[in-house]
Amino acid sequence: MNQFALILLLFSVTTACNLNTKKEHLLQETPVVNVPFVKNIYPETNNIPENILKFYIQFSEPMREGYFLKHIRLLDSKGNNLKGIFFDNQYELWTTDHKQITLLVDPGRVKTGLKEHLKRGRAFEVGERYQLIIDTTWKSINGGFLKEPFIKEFITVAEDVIAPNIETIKVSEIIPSTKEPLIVMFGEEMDVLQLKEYVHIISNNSIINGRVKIKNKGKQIQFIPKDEWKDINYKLRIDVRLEDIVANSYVGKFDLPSTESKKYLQQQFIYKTIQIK
Amino acid sequence: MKKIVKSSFALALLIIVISCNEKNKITPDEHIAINTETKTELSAIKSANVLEFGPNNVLFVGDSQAGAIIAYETKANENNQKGKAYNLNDFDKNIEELLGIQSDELIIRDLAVHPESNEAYIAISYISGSKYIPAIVIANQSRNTRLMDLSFKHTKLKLQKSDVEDFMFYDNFKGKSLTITDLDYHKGKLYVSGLSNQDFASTLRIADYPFTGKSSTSSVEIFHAMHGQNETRAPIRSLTVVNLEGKDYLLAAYTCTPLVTIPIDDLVDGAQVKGKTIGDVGYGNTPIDMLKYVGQDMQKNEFEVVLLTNKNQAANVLPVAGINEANKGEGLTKFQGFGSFGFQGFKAPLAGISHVAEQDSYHILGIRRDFDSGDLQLVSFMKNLYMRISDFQSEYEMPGYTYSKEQEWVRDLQNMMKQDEGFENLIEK
Repeated sequence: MNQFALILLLFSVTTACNLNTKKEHLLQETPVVNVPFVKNIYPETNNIPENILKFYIQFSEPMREGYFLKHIRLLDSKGNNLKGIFFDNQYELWTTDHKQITLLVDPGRVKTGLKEHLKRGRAFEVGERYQLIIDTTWKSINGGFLKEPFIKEFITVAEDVIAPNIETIKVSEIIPSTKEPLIVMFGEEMDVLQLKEYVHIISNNSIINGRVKIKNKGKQIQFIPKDEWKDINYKLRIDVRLEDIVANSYVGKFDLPSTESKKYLQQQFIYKTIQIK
Repeated sequence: MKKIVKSSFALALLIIVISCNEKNKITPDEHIAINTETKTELSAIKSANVLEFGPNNVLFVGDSQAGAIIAYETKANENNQKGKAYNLNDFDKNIEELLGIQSDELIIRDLAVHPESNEAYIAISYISGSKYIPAIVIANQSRNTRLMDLSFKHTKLKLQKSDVEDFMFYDNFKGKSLTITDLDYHKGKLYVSGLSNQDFASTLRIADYPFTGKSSTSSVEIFHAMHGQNETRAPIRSLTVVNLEGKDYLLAAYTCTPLVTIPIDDLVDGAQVKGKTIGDVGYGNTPIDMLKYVGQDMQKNEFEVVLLTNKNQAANVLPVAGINEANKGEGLTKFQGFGSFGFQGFKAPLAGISHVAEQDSYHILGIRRDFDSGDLQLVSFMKNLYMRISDFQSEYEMPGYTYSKEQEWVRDLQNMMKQDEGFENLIEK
């Protein structure tokens, strides 16, 4: 056994014993609770169409389930606390790490022709200002309350009933032998979660590894390749389910009459060729 | 040299194992607490969201976090209280003691009843350390409460990969998750409905059982009447299979609350299937559970029913004969007002119940929170009566109340319920 191996052996024994000691020591200490806070609410835009379907609330820490609506208030410009706007879901829609919850606007009010919509109309009034407030009563799994309330202010704008169009997407050129970001511009704000899952750069049917950054409130993404671009053919691949912030997708608009046909029904993806500089 | 280093690594590893082993050895006491984090990591599931018993006492567990269905081969425990009602009014204390947790660290996910032992299986999540831990609590009428061993013999089906990507995005950002809302076993197949945090979609998943490793998906379209019928894209919340005129149909309840029939033969992989809306049991409501069983009327005539429990209104008892008649028509095709329309069966006074399951020939088992105390209750309801007499304070209970001749049948019914709910001392002669 050489010297290196002996040192390794000794180090391992010491470390193993230390780990146990440290573990016991830690067990005796009061656990440190990170104070949670709201990192962001999506869509990021402050101009929210009246037919908005969902908001994503993103937290710094894993949060507790329970009756989520008791921690959320929606105030109009007169300070009225509005009820019946968000869907009182039996199931809370968390990401698996419990750091993000989806807040659905009652779909019955978003879609025309459903009873809730016919009786009460859309949840948001065009031109009205609102405050979506996340209260400090919300607890993290570790037991800490939110550090401070989070307020998202927005104004409601006219409904968006136009499905996104592949033709309006603009893609920058790639520069071989660099890791220069590729920029994809959608022309409107898209669903930020879906942007990360449904948009890929491919070459020869293989997905190119890299990082996606959401820019300009979801109107564009930056794709930074893990490896340098090569002088080969790349394509932008978009899952046709990709939606704008009011859930209109490349298949068709969210409130789709049966008389209107769906696009791309037989295919999962649409493609756009990427030019090389 | 490489060889020596390699041997040193092995030796070092062995020494670590030996030196750590003594302290990490599981004592019998620790082993009883089956769901310690270590044990859960070794177990088959990441979350227990939906429970459903299938053939041969197989328990299907819908695991939303893993995007999977796990099938456990369970054995029937001896239950000498079988057939009796559950009257566990402060059941949360049992669970809290079992797990050593506070009441606000517990979430009830679903309830099922073992077909043979009639013991309750309750899917829960509870907080341990910095995360939610899944567990299935087994309980019976005698308050015998224990944890199911989740590493017990099982098979597993991962739902279609693209539906749930349990990975971190490039910037450590978790994305799409699937919440399994219901599952139903019928003639060798599992029907699974779910909600996504990301896509508002109507995808229904179907898998063979025993699992073959594959599942198929169908997109179910229903339409609502306005501007030439717009597609809802709404996800199914609760479902069961009914046989109508010799043909199997999926009976599905949606939010707000249309009842829709979908021919099972149409549910092939990738299909776009149109459902028929046979009724609308009320807006502003979310359906919870659907149970199918044989009910009885006052003359003891038996008939097959589907019980639909709701979050925001009383339950609906839907006789299958009525569903059958409604399915012969064209269904609801235009707006008819703000009430309840089309087929909706009759109302049952079951409200405020988180989950229900068929307990035995006489009972439905429910789990609920008491409105006043907030206590968790695991309690039985007699089929066909759909109520618990101990929930009410009525003039019948006033001292000196005498039943008239015409009221004797009421007294008999009340006596039956009093006995069932453990109030034999209050039985009126």
